[in-house]
Amino acid sequence: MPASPERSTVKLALSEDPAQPTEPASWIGPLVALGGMAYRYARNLCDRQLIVTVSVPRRDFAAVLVGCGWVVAHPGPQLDAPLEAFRQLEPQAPVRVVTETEVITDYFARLEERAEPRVRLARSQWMVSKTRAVAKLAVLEAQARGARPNVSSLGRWAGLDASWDARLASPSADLAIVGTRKWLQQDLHAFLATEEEAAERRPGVSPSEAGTIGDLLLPEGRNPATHFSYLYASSRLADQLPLPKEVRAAVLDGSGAIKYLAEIDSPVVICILDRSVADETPAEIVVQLRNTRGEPVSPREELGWRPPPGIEAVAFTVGL
Amino acid sequence: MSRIEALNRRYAASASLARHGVEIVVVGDPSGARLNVAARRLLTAVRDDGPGLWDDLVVAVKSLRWRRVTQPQPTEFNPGIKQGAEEVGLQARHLRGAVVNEDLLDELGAAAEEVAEIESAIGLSLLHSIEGHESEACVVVAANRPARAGLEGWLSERGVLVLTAGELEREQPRVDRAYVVGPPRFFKSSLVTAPVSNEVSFLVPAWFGDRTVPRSAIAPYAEGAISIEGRLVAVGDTSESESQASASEVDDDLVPEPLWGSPQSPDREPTSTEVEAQKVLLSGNLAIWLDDGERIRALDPEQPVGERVIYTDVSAVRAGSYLLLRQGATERGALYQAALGQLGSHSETIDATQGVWKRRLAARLSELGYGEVVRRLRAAGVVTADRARAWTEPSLIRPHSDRDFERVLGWLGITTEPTFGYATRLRKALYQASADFREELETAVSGADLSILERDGYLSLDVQTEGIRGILATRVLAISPFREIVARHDARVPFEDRSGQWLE
Repeated sequence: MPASPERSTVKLALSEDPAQPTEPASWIGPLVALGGMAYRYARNLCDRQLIVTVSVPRRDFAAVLVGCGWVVAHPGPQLDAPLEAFRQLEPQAPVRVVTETEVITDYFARLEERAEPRVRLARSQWMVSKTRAVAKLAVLEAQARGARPNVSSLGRWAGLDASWDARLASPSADLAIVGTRKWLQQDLHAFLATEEEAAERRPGVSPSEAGTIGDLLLPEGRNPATHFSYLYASSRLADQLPLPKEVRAAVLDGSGAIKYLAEIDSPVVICILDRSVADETPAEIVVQLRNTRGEPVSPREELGWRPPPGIEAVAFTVGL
Repeated sequence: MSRIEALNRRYAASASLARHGVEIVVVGDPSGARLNVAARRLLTAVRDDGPGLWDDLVVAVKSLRWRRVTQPQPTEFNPGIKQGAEEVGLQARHLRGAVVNEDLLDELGAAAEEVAEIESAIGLSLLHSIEGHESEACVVVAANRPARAGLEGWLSERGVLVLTAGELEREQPRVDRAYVVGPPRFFKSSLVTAPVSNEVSFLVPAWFGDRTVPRSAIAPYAEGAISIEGRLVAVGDTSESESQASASEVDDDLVPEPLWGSPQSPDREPTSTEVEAQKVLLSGNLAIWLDDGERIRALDPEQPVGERVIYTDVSAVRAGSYLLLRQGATERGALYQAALGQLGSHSETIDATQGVWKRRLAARLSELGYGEVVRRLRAAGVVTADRARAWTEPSLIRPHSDRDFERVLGWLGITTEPTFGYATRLRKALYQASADFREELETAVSGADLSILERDGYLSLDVQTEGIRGILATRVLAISPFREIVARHDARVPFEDRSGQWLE
């Protein structure tokens, strides 16, 4: 069972340079925890939409941290061991395979059972002993190969290590983050570590060991063969709605995104209000929705989430 | 200081202010108090007499009073206060013989002269406070750009940083305390809910009674709500504050506002070629009639290159928003044609089916009236029925929700297909045309010098799309609270209007 960020008092640390000592701070962990709390609450929503709004002194990192919490909260998929999985596949079945070094999406051709079993895909072949996870796909969008992303420090700390390959093979890509694309992409480059790891880190550690937020959120496009989430630019959202049906949580970062609150149908919406921006329109949109159609939800009592100093939170559900 | 260090400081500063509150330094200002009393008497007279006659005097008095609060620097650095006082004197003299209360006119003139001659004690108090710090450890925050310029001229030789609230946010100087010139009410809540420094002090004249500290808009409903206490500190003789406290209950918004004249609420419904609109004053001596149709294109210069051209809901347009307007005619018509063009041979049929249901809806609106149509649509299960009038607009293709659209067609007695399918195709084509145009605008914006936009308030953009040239980016100065009926084709087209010129 993954360690829950909300139950421990471990401080997390953010850094933009893995070689520099990172800065532990008490506002980071709770934002990650919020994503997890929303995930757990959402399991019981029936035809209602949960809208949680937090206000922060500045938007930086808040949206991607909440996204991390959502991703981490998913239980890992239960997959058969690779050999067993391959045995059950029919030829031409679309499949995603995770090996020690790569992630591949392709059509299954055949399994060659021998002393050292081998699997043939349409475009490549592998020794089954070198594969780590296999998942059948409903549909194959593209035949692709990408490097296998490493589990980041946060992933390890949250206990995702054991299920990482299964998650890569069969991701629940149900998270969308909407905001200023450039700023979100900058946020994804930051490294996230526990306070202990931050203290232990030797200068010059390689980025592949440290792991960025992007390595955990895996937005579509970062890896050709798998993704955990979608990133949307608010300025273009008008022409891209509605969001895909698989999206179960939308994190709306800032005014440009929150404007579209009424048009987002996902069961969970988390709005990030940037208090440093003078324009209060996004806050007014949230308040108006709450007052006209919302049933209040107490973050502390019903979500189990206590806002840290500097962060305000309001939550409610609306009928869908 | 790295971005993350700066961010951690912001969280800490916010927590600090939430815990310890802000300091409100209340400084005695008898001359300002005299002006304030006279101003209140003036507003009572206006309330009784009706607007029109007194307008120019009211504007002059409010401006002078605002300046007294936000620009307390010594007279040699404050030419504006002298000009302001002279203007009050001039306007007061104009009204002689036209109004009964000549003693009020005398008093206003005398109070204005006194304010120009006797410096506000706030200036001295500010200086004392700054001298207590090393100059790099504090910042002075001004209420607006003119105030910043005035205070900077005075304080720059002491090496003190003077910024507006917006600049403070952008530059995030590493300071321990901010001295804000003006009451908390004059500033957006972000100044205290997202502070840059761990300590904040406001300097206000004692006669300014409202010392409430703003909260964030969600604070009334939020857990962990940030509610910041104002700790009062009195400087000098502040006895005037008691006498002001029991001042009249006239609706006195100290912040200068344009005068919109007497409200002309429409007493009829708009016809099919008309819309209800609010007047919006823009930089560059322009204005538009803004109707409540679909969104309007806007520019957000705070966003990075490539993400600055946005849509904003008409209801979200505020003073300070930047709108993107097509000179001479609106973009909507051109994009609609472009979208039809993309549908090739079907375009006529689709245009026709759109016309059928929209005309029928317009007919029902005209026959039953807006209110009744909304009621009946709601009864038929249409959630966004209040948009009924907007849906008659050709370029607003169809209701957003599928369910609502089906029900509207049902209520109009029109079979769902092929109208539904055609409208959806047209909408997709319009989105594509809109996205293409958006990219054009974005290119034009990235080639423009946005500092000019910030300085002047407006900027012409160079766009090469067929049928669309002459796009103007312009800052909204004020929005009228009143609605009037205007011709549909006049909506959103900029025209000359000088009412906003002194707002800049």
